[in-house]
Amino acid sequence: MKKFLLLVLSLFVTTTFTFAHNAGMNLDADFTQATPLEFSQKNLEKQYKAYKVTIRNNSVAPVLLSSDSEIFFVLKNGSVIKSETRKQIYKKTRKADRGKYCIFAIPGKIASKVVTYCTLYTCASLGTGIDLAMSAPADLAIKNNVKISKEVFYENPLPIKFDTNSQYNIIIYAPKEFDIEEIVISNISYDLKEMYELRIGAKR
Amino acid sequence: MKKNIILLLICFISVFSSGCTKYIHASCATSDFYGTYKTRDLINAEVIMYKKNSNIICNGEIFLRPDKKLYYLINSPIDGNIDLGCSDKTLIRARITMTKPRFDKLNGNGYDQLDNLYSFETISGKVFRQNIDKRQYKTFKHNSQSNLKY
Repeated sequence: MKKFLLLVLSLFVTTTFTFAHNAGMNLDADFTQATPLEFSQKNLEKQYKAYKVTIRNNSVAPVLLSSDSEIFFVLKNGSVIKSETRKQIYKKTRKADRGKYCIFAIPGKIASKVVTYCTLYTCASLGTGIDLAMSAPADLAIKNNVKISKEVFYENPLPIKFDTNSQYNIIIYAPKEFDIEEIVISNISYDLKEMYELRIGAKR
Repeated sequence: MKKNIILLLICFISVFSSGCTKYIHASCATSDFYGTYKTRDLINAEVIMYKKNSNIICNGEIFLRPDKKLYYLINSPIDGNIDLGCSDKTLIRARITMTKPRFDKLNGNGYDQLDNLYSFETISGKVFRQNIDKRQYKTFKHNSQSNLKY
């Protein structure tokens, strides 16, 4: 009788615990791979694959991410790799804008001022032309970097929390050479104390 | 003569470099954060901040979103975002507006995961030094570990 009671009690405890654990993670999530047409930046496309992740929080309280939250990719061969930070992705794909600004744009500005003032504004248009021409390489690099940073940081980034009854469309970048089977977001919680992980499978 | 030239050069370099360091202050209802830029680019900057009277360090990035051409020539306000990750698991995301180029002047508001409101602004070196614990500043200045992991 004692054994039977113990068995019932242990079963009750384990089922309640499992149910509570699942209830804490009441998030619907799936991912699809973005087509190359959806990439607007060639630099990003060369090195990364974009995955469109949809997450919906169905629980009654918001789910919080923390500064310990990390993204892992489970590959088809079963191994796990850690995602690069958005800053690393930006640094890998950006073009050197500061060097071009210092080498071309600043001397161009000085030359334009010299031409303009030394000719007592008679060649002011030539000065402006020099300035614009010398600024063009840096301008192009900055324009390109702004596009990359917009794509990496602003267009569908991972939020800092998932509000209740709201859907989030997120884009996650993974290295091009790997085939991803599952995306894992670790250390998410209700209260920043008890941590869970979210496993996201491919959309079927 | 040579000595005078060297002295002048040192003065010029010190004045020039002292103008480069800018400081940021973030305040919320319960705490104050003070910090500075680690690196500054034309459109992004790395930020490191510390919570006053605690050992909590936050670091992250500012990214600007200029929409016009020849961004660095324009003195008009440019919008951007600041993302911070703190050692106490807090994540802060705010919208900022830069009113002076090279992140010399900015202000903005944002929230953390628990919906605490934070307001950001640039402050002078004097205010920064008044509110900083020197020993803590040394440790946090050499901290290179990033709290943003994705």
